[in-house]
Amino acid sequence: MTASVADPEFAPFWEAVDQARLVVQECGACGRRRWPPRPVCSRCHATETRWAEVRGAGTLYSWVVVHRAGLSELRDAVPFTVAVVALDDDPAIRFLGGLSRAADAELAIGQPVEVSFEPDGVGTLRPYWHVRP
Amino acid sequence: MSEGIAIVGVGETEYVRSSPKSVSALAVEAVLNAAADAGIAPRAIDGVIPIGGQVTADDVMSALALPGHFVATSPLGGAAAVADLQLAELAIAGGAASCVVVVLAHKAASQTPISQRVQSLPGQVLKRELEAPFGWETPAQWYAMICRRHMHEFGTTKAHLASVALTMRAHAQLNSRAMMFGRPMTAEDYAASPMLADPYQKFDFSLETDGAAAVIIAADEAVGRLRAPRIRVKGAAVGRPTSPDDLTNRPDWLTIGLTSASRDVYERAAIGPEDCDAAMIYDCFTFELLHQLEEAAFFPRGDAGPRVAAGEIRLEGRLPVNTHGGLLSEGHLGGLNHVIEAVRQLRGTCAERQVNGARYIAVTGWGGLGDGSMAILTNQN
Repeated sequence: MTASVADPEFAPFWEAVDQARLVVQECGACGRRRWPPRPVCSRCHATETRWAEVRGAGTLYSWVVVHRAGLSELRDAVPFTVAVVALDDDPAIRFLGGLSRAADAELAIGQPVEVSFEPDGVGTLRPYWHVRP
Repeated sequence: MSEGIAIVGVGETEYVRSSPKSVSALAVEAVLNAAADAGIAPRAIDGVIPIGGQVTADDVMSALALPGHFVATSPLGGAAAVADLQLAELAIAGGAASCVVVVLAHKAASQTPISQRVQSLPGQVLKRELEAPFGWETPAQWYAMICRRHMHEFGTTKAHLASVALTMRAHAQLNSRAMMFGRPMTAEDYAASPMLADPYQKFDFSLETDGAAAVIIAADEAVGRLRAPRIRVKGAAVGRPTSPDDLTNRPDWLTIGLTSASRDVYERAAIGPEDCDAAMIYDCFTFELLHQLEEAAFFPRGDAGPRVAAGEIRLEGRLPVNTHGGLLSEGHLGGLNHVIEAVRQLRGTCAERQVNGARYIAVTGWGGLGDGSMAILTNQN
C-alpha cells in the first residue's frame, strides 16, 4: 500500500505501520475502540477520533490458504495464507493480514500469533503474523 | 404476501461457457421467452429490474420499445434475485408498475468472471486498503474463512462439502439445460480437483456461465389469460448481517442476513421450514449451501453437513434442494435460475426431477459478505 493511494480514513493506520506500530481508532467521546476505520463511533455517533496503539499479539480466528490468486499482485506468491487475528489487548478487534509459516506447519484456531513488519516488493512495510513459539 | 400479484412467466437462454451473443441480446431472448411462457405481449411489461451489473434496464426497454417507466436495482449481489421478487411486488402494490420483469444476463464465463464482478460490490475502499494488500480478494477466499470457523465449531468436514457438490451434480443429470448435464461426478473426481482457496477446491465452486434468465411478476388484472398457473410469493424478506461490508470484525460470523430474513419470511407467510416441500438454496460454494440450510432453520446449526451426507437433500430425500443442479452444476444465473426452478416445480412440469405434490418452496439468495434474501413460493392461491 503506497501513500499515494491511501484513503484519508485509513492513512493513519498505514503511517503507523510504516513505523512498525499497529493502531486502531478510538472514539474521542466515549472511548470505544473500533476497527476497521469508520467516520463515526458506531455506539455514540461522535466524530472525534483518536488513534490508539495496540500490541501485535493475538490468536488465530480463521485462515484461508490461497492457491490461486489471479486478481492479486501476489499471484506469483501462491500458496500463501491470509489470516484473521483476534487481538489479545481487545479480542473484539480483529486484524486481517498475511500469515508467515513453514509450508508444513499445522495451524489451529486459537493458536497464539504475533506480528512483525516486513517490506513488500517495493519496500513498503506491511504487518505479517507468525505463530508464536 | 401482496394480494393479487403473482409470478406469471419464466424464461431463459441456454447456459453455456461461451456465447456468441451480446449481453443485451441474451437479456432480450430471456425476457421474450418469459413473456411467451406467460402468454402475454412483451409490451405489457412496464417495469424492468436488471441484476448482476452487466445488463441494464435500458438494454431491455430500448430493444423491445417498452412503454413503461419503472426501473430499480438492488445492491445486494447474489441476494438480489430473490430480493427483487419483493421489490417487484412493492412496485406493483404501490402502483409504480403493473407488470415487472426481473432479468439477469451476463457473460460471466467468457468475459466478466467473479473476480471482476466483485469490484462493483460496496466497501471497495475498505477492501483496497485492508484486504487486497494481503491477497484476500475473492468470495471463495472470504467464505473459506467462514467455512473453517464452522468446521472448528461444529466438526463440519470436507466430506460434507463433497456431498453437496455430488448431490448438485447428480441433480443436474436430470436436467438437460444444466451445464453439467451428461457429466456426472464421483467422489474421486471431487477429491482430485485442484485446491484453490483451502478448504475450497475447484468443485466447491459454482460455475461461471454465459446466459440470461428472466422472471415476470404481474398484477392479476394487468394480464389476461395465462398459459400456466400463477405462482404466488407467499412471503419474502431481505436481511443484512452486522457490518455488511466487513466480515473481519463482525462479532458473530455464523449469523448472516438469511438468519433474520428467514424468520421474517416464516412469520409473513405463516409457513414454517417443516412445511416446505423443497428448497432452492444459493449455492455459490458448497459450504454456503450448508450454512444457509442451517440459518434458514431447515437444520439445527452444525447438523447440515451430516444430514446432507445422509442424503436428506437429494431429490428422494426429506427436503429436495436445488433439483436443477444449482449454481454448482446447472449454471450461475445469480440465483434467478433457482426462482425459475421453484416456479416449474410448483407448476409440476419438472418431469423426472419433479418433487411430487410440491406446494411450498423456499428460495434463498446470498450476496456480498452475507447479505441474505428468502421467499416462499406457492401454487396455493
